[in-house]
Amino acid sequence: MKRKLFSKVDLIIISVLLAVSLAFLLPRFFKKENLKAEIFQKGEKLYTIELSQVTESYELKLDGAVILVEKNAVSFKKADCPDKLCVKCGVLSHSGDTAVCVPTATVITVSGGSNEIDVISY
Amino acid sequence: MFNNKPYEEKSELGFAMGSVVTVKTFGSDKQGVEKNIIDGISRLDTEILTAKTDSSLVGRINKGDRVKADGIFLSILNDTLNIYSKTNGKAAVTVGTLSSLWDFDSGKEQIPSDGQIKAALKKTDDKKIRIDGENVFASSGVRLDLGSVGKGAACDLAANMLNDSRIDNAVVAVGGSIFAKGETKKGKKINVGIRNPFGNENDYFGYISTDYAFVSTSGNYEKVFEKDGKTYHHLLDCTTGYPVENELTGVTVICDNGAKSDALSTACFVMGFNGETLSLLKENGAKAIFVFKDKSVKIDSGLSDIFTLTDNGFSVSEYEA
Repeated sequence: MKRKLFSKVDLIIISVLLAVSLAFLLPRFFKKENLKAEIFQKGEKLYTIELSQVTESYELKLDGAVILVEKNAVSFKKADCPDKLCVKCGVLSHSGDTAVCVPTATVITVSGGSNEIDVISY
Repeated sequence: MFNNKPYEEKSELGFAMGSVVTVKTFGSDKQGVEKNIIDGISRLDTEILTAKTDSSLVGRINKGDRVKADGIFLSILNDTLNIYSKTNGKAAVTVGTLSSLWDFDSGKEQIPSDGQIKAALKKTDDKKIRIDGENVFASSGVRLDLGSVGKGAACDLAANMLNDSRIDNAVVAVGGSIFAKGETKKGKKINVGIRNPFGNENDYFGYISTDYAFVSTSGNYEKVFEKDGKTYHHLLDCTTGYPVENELTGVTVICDNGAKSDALSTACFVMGFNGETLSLLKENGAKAIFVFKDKSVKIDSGLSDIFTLTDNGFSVSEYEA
C-alpha cells in the first residue's frame, strides 16, 4: 500500500496545533494598542489620554509643570521643581511606566496595551 | 481558555510617606476600598510613623516623651529592631539624628562634617530604645527614623484592609514597596518588575510572578546626589555614618510581611552578600535577589521558578539558602 506523507488525521492535528499557536501569538502584534496616559495633580485626575490615537504632539500646561503628549508616548517637558527628577524620568511609552513630580504633586501613569509587568519594585 | 479578558480594574492614586501610593484591584465590586486604603496609609504616616513632626507617635518619642504605643506600632518596631540587631550595628532604628544630618529627602545635597557624623553616631544605638510593656521611650537626643520600613508597613496595612473587604486580586505600591495578591485575569498572576539599577525609573531587568507576596527593594540609585565627582546615596552604614560602599547596587526581598521585607532589604544591602545575610533571610522565611555592580545577579534557588529575566545584559546565577 502506498503511504501518504500526511494522513487525514495528521492534517487535522497539524491545523489544530497551528490554530492554537496562532491564537497565542496574535495578541503580541497588538502591543501598543489602547495605550493610555492618566495625568493627576494634587490627587485629582485631570486628563485621560488615548496615546495610541494621538496624531500630532501637543503640550499640556499644568500648575508648575508642562507635559508633552505624543503618539504612544508622554513625558514631563518642564517643571518648577528644584530637582527635575520628573523631567529626568524621560519618555513614558510602556504600560506601567510612571513619572512623578513630588513638589508640584503631579503624576503621569501609562497603562493599557499588553503589559509584561503590573508594577515595579525599586 | 480564549475568553481570558482582564478582570475589571479599579485604581486609586495618592501621596503618602514622601512617595506615590497606588492601589489597584481587579474584578472587585466593592466601592471605595482603594481610596480608604490610601487614607489609611496617610494616617499611618502622619499619626504614627513620620519623624518630620512632633505630633506623630515617633515624633513624640523623639521629643523625649514616654509614649503609650498601639499594637501596630509595637509590632513594626519589634520586627525592625529584631532584624537590625543582626546587622552588627550597620542598620539601626535610631538612625534619626544621622539621617536628618544628611537629609536626603530635602534635595539640599549637603555632606556633614566628620565631627557632626561622630556626634550623630553616639546617638545611633538601638539599645537606647526602651520598650516597657506598651510604653516606648528613647534616651535623650536619640531619634527614631522608621523611614526604611514605613512603606512596607503601609503594605501590611493595605493587605489587612483588602482582607477585611474580601478582595482577592490587588496590587498596592507604596513607592517601590509592593504588595501583590491574586491575579489580573483568570490564570494570570501578578508580575512585579525588579528595577534595573543601571537604567531609569521605569526600567526593569526581570520580574517575579506571584499570587501573594510583599516585595521590597533597596538600591543605591534612590535618593542620590553627586558632589565633587562622588555619588552619595541614602543607605547609610550606621557604624561609619556614611553611605554603604560594597559590591551591591540593589537588593530585592520577597517575604510574607511588608515591614519585614523592607527591613530585610535594608539589612541585606548594608551587610552585603555573605553567609550571615543569607541566614538572616532564612530565619525570616524570606528570599532575595542581589544585584551586583558588575551586573551579575544572585537569586535564591527557591525563586528560580517564578523569576523571569528580561534584560540579557545581566548574568543570573542561583544561590542555595
